[in-house]
Amino acid sequence: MDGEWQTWIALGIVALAAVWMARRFLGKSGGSCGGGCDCSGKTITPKREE
Amino acid sequence: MRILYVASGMQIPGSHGGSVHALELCRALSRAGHEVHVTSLPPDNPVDAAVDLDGVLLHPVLGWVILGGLMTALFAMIFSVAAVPMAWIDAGFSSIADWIKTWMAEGDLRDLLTDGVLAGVGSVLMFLPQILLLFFFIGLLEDTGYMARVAFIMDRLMGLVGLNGRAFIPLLSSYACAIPGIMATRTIANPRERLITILVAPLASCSARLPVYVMMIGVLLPSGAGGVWLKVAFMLGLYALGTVGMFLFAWLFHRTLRSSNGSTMILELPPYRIPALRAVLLRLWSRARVFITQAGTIILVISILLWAATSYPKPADGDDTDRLTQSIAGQLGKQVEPLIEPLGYDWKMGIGLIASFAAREVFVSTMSILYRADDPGEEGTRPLQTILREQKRADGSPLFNTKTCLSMLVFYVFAMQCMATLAITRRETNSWKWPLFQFGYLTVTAYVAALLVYQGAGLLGY
Repeated sequence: MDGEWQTWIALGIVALAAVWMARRFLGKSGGSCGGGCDCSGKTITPKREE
Repeated sequence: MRILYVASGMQIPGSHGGSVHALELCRALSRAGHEVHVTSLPPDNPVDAAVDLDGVLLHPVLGWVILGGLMTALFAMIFSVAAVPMAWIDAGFSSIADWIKTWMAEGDLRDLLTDGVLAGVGSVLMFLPQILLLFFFIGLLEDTGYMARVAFIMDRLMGLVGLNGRAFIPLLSSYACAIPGIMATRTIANPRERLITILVAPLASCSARLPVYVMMIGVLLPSGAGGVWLKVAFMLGLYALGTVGMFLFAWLFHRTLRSSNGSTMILELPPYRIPALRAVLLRLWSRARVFITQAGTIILVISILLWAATSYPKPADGDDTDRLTQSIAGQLGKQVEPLIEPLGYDWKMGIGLIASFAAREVFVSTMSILYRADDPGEEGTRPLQTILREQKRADGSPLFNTKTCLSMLVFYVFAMQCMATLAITRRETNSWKWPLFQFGYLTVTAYVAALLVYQGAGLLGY
């Protein structure tokens, strides 16, 4: 019984993580870049020089 | 390659009393093979005191020697200075894990906290000092005006492989992260040249590769084996390999996509300045915040999911010895294993490769979770590199031997292990064709290169 409540809480955390992940990758962001890149969602105004 | 040189903050000979600096600079650029046209005449600016500096920094040979020297010093700093705070962070996470193990009763939640969350997040956060040092020194070099000089010495090489001069800034940005690099290609007017730059940008060794490089170099060269300089040489070699690959593929695409002749590059050389420490530190803080946020979100979530995949389903008979092999991750890994076996990898590394498609440094946290799951932990939480060095194959030989480590390093130099980069390529090219092509050519290159390294090193007796 001691370990059972731990299993339920752990499974709840795993379910929350799965929902977060699904929302993240099915959303517009298309994932996350690594290494401290602060680029997600940032846009650059096209600048064309002839 | 033609360069229109815009002399910022300098006087031009014959127009406003003459400036030796501008003249020397034009000569240095001409010697480096550029066709120089002076177009900007900013009046009433003082003559720059750094008369000879550009002659040296832009010299076709000395310029490269100085750039190589600065990179060597930078990586030496990363390996030596950062080792101390890294050990503190590692020890801190290990102490928390050990404390939880003594305080909580045995159970899934305790395992999730120690073997999932702390092992995963801690193994990545440990690399924060190295990433901050890297960005601190790059920030200093940018602020002094040196990075603009690097653009000039690189431009000739870029012209040889058919890259537009304007591709330099996007490609340089890609060494931090390919996403802003690819977005910055919007300044390249020629669509074919822009496409080539987008396709090769992920070959620049971005900062997300740094934790993977450092971990694998650490496994390959334990403390005392060859010292810091051998590690620095390995790191420089990996960055050089990525850069050579970038130029090689740019040249190949230039030939096959028949890009138009080189375009004009307009680049402003700022005057030399003393870096503003406050500005550098502010940018550094911004990087640190993003890195910590990421460790607290995407890496935390993947660590939790990965822990679940390695823990469930539980063996029906309660026998824990084969728990990992019977888990979801174990079964999936066994399916992938035949494909990666020729590269020297086992199924756990295969899971790492799949998971790190979300973000490259997830490979480190995956290794931490998977290999710690089998570690008895009788001596407390031990460093990951020690655990990895002790792993054995079925025949009793070391799993992480020289050829496996080299093969893994080479794989990560070329592999397109970044979902976000593919999403940006899709957005910037407005088509699925190019991101799929990018993923395909980089994955095949990574696989073939890793295979050649592993099998070649085997033939050489490593």
